[in-house]
Amino acid sequence: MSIKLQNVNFIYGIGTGKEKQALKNINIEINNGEFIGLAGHTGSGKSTLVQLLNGLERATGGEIFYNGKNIYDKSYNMRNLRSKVGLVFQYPEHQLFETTVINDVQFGPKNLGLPQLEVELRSFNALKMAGIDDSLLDVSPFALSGGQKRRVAIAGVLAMQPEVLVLDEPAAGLDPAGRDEILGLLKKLHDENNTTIILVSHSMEDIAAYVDRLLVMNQGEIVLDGSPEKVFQFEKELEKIGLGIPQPAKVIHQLKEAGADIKGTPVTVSESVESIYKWLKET
Amino acid sequence: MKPFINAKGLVHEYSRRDEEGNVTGINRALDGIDIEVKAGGFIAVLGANGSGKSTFAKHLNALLVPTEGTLYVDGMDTSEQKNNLPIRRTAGMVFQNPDNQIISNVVEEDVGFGPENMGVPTEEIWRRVEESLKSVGMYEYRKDSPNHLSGGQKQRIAIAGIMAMKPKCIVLDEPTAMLDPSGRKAVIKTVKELNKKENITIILITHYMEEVTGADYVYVMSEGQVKMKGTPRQVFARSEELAKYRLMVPEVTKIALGLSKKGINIPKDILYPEELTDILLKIKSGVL
Ligand SMILES: Nc1ncnc2c1ncn2[C@@H]1O[C@H](COP(=O)(O)OP(=O)(O)OP(=O)(O)O)[C@@H](O)[C@H]1O
Ligand SMILES: Nc1ncnc2c1ncn2[C@@H]1O[C@H](COP(=O)(O)OP(=O)(O)OP(=O)(O)O)[C@@H](O)[C@H]1O
Ligand SMILES: [Mg+2]
Ligand SMILES: [Mg+2]
Repeated sequence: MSIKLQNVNFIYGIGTGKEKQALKNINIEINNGEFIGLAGHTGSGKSTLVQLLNGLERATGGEIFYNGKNIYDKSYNMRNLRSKVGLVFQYPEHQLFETTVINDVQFGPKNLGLPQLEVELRSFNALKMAGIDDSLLDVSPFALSGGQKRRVAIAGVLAMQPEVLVLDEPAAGLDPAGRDEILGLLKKLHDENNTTIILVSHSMEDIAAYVDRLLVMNQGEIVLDGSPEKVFQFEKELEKIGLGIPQPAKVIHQLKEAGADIKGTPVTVSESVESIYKWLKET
Repeated sequence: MKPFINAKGLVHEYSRRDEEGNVTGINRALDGIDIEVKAGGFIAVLGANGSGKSTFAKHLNALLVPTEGTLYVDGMDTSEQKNNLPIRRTAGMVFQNPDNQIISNVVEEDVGFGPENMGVPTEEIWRRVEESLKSVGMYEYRKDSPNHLSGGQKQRIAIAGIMAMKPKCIVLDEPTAMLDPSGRKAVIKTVKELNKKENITIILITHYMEEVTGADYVYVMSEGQVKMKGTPRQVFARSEELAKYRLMVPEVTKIALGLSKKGINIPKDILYPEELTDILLKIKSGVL
């Protein structure tokens, strides 16, 4: 399983005289079972890119291959693609529309044509995983707090059990414990079910702690592609394009600049504590 | 001096309804809140999802009225309907999702909409539109349609729109949730400047712990009640209690705590990367 993007371009407003090129010549391959982070300044093209992955938007140039098959072939089954590649939107309001929480979550699996029992099983499971209390099942999604809406939107996609989970800022609006729970859940799905995860995030701390591979976008292009440890060595470049590095990496960089001989390239809290401790204890 | 914002025993109950509109339950989202903010103050409100932060914010703007207790904004009782309009002019709101806040098809008109509605003279409107668009870094988009902007860009427009109204107080409900690191820094910097230079009272609701380090005072809410309060340093020094309310200290504070657990003698209320670097270098060279 893989998703391959070949010379992908996307231009908004073609023919309106107000064209805006949001993606420029994207060439990437996303392999089965990868946990990928996608970062970039606001307006860099992240949401546009992820909406191409499940066929919600169509590239204005280039090709996309899912498991080796061109998704723009006439005979390609787009509906099937949408059930295999699940997308959690940046704004949960764009995804919630049913009258109750439970109906909303059941919508997807029902649409897959699953038997009712399976639909219910999956939905309850998904809601539980996303941290929604049973007392909220019959409530209107619009009468929920921001973070509760976010969880329901995530549950709706989890219930489809997609092969690839694409999440556009899933942790935005979650409380700190909730952020860890949801990201931990993604990690679990990745580790146990081999689900491919593509996580769009503005939080360098979250990216550092969870992803294996980080793609950085700038003005519609992918400008860095590598492990977080490697990418976060490019602090100046990242700052130039409106991003930064996680706080722990920042402290390590500052220490190194002051001449501290710290080993390795820690980017998370626990890694930093270990490295700093060793350095302090050295004589 | 009377506080600019004064909530006393503030209670809000939502009634839950079924599809036919019958009340099926009561949800006490605010359960006796006492919060005082002086004019020109900068407070931050933290708390778990569903703890009542946005409900409190909506009270400050008289979008909701107290079920019990009282709330005064700049001396005006929010439960009196005649105060609605003056209160909304006094306290501007910025929400997490900018979609609900965009009104016009052109960025600069959108930003000018508020002051125009308040009867600000045209020339002054344009001056304010320019100034506020520049301070959020969106001046070059002034002729574009807000609908064609990315999430973070829309949010900056919404903030500019409130700034252009120059209200006495700005309530920001997770304003940076969709912003990139530099956008977040810019918004927080703008907010601090509005507070320091223009003496605008700031209520900042956020889930990002690093953002509240600039506030004078922090309130932690849980299940509709204020559970902790103090300066950022005081509150973040109580990391175990914070965890009880689903919150966490900033990552640099976590590093200091981790080192302290391993027996390093280091303060536990460190808030900034520079501060931590400094202290570590001193510890290493044996002067601390
Ligand atoms: N419907 C649209 N019509 C025209 N231009 C658009 C439209 N949607 C987005 N754009 C433009 O395309 C570019 C990429 O937008 P996109 O939403 O993909 O950015 P993003 O990286 O997701 O940003 P954010 O972090 O703010 O969500 C931006 O410059 C934006 O202004
Ligand atoms: N319109 C509404 N009708 C009924 N109940 C509501 C409504 N809005 C919010 N609630 C409930 O009131 C409680 C407090 O919600 P509120 O939106 O104030 O939380 P919050 O602290 O802002 O959370 P978040 O961090 O998720 O935004 C929650 O239990 C929520 O489900
Ligand atoms: Mg986006
Ligand atoms: Mg809220």
